[in-house]
Amino acid sequence: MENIYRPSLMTILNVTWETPDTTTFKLAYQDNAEKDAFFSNYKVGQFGEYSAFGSGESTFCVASPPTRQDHIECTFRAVGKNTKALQAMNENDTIGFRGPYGNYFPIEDWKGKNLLFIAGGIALPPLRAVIWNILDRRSDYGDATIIYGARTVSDLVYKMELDEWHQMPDVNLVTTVDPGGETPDWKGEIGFVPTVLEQAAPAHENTIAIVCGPPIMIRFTFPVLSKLGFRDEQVFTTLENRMKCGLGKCGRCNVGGTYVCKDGPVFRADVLHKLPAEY
Amino acid sequence: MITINTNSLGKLLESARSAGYRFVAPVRDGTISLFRPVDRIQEIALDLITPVKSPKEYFFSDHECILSYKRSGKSLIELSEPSKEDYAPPTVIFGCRPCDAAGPGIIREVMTWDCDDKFFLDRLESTVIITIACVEADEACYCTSVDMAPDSETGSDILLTPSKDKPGVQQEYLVKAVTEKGSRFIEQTKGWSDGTVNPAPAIEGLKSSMKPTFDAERVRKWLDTSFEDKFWDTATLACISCGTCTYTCPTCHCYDIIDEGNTDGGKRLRNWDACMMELFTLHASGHNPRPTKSNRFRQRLTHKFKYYPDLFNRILCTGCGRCQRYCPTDHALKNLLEQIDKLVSTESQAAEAVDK
Repeated sequence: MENIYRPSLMTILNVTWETPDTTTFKLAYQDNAEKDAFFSNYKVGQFGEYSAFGSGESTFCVASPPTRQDHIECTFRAVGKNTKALQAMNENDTIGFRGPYGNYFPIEDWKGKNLLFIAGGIALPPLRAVIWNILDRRSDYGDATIIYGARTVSDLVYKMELDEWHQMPDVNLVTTVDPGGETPDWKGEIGFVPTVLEQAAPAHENTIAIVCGPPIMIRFTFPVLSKLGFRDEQVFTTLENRMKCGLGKCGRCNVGGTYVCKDGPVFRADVLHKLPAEY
Repeated sequence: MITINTNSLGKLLESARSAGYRFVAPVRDGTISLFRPVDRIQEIALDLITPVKSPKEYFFSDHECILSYKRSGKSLIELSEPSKEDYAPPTVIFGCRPCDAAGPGIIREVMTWDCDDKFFLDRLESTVIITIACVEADEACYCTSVDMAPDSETGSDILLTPSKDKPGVQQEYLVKAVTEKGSRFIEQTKGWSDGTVNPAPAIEGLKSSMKPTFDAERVRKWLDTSFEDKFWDTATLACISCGTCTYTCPTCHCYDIIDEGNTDGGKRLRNWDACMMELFTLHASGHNPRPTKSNRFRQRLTHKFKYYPDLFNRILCTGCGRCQRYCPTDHALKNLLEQIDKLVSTESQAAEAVDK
């Protein structure tokens, strides 16, 4: 019988420092069969368990899209024992990875629709996988609008890619920082994400909104979306709760009777609103 | 019919051991009692209603290695796994009660949910569960409230029905092979005889005297709509979050995964964990989805009587009564279930009175 807790061994190909405490790893499977197994299952929105051996495992989303099959990427902030140990690692080092786990964004159902991405701070990584996924299949989708905010300019992640999206004629990118978080040469907006969203006033017709951010941002963004005419069925988000197994067994990520690791992490707003406040 | 008497248990133990089984049975150790491998039949305590600890650890280890890692080069890691021979030796669990025998089958639903936990399944497969039906119960016992009975076969490979009303005394047992595995074990071992034995009258007596003290289905219906009920805040005040209830429970199965070692080598371990602990759900950000004791108590009770039943169509509880028996504040699940049941019947009576 297979050991469901056995991780794949991954080589760190590249380390990018996004902010002083946030890092992106580009990872390659050391075993080709495991790589093939991953990519035959992986759909955008899924997550995995990443480990620095000796320090345990942590749960993050896969931040790269399935349209790029030579590697996977993850972006994480150093907050605990394992994320600190991961961040101390260098190119060519080996880490452990289990996944992909959980459900995914139903992007096949979104063909022909406009997409509105709304992200705050460290919550851009799960949406970044969707953004590149649809940009890599550009003709399948309508307009792409990205509204991304962080506390300060130095808290914005994927700065190179923000520039790249900014240059793209078929992507409408709005970046913002909280008041006081701007630098003298900041050219984006100044204001909280929900306010900037309201000003940008994207049309709701034939549009799917994908929201991810800290709980406070989500709480204030949902009412703005409904004010703009979005129905709950048009709005998606991705949840996180503490996990150990990622497989529905260790017993800690459930929100009421709903397991974030199996029934989520992706939830449509109407489903989310029916869940008890346990996330 | 097959029977076995108390004098032949030694022969059974000997032949099981020479067939390669480790023989695990209830023993007393100081002030507590637990399941432990025994060498001699005299070590076994058959007069207990149940030992303090359930035999859960023989299926779902309280502390086990699930992976080893070793640095094999500057940036290379080599992984290895414990072998089945080491973590799942052939084992007989002798003399557990129906409530303990039912535990592993309930945990199995979770351990096979969409993917299989081999550590649990391999152990379950290599274990023969020999149960002795109950002739005694105490005030904490409530198996009849959760679809069980003092002589339930659920989860047992072999069920022994005693002939005398007192447990642990010299007596004859009626033997029933419940599973294929049980039959094979009987063929493989000695001590069994042919004959007839009348079940102890106390078993039927218990079945009629142990009336359910709450209606699990009625509780489940109440749980459907009572996540925010103020009942939780007041009813759980006495709890001290010690975790005794989850530790002694034959069906609780929450676990933690941690590493022990350094960057050169070490082990990945799976340890028992408990939803009654504050750190259980604490996010790295400091946010905690279940910050209060009442949130956590609600989780444990609702998991057992609603979430799990909604998924697997049975209750995540065997009514062994340990959480009631050993709770230091006398404040366990059974009390709360009875309170909820009373609450529901009072509410429905009040509603009827209004209708009239």
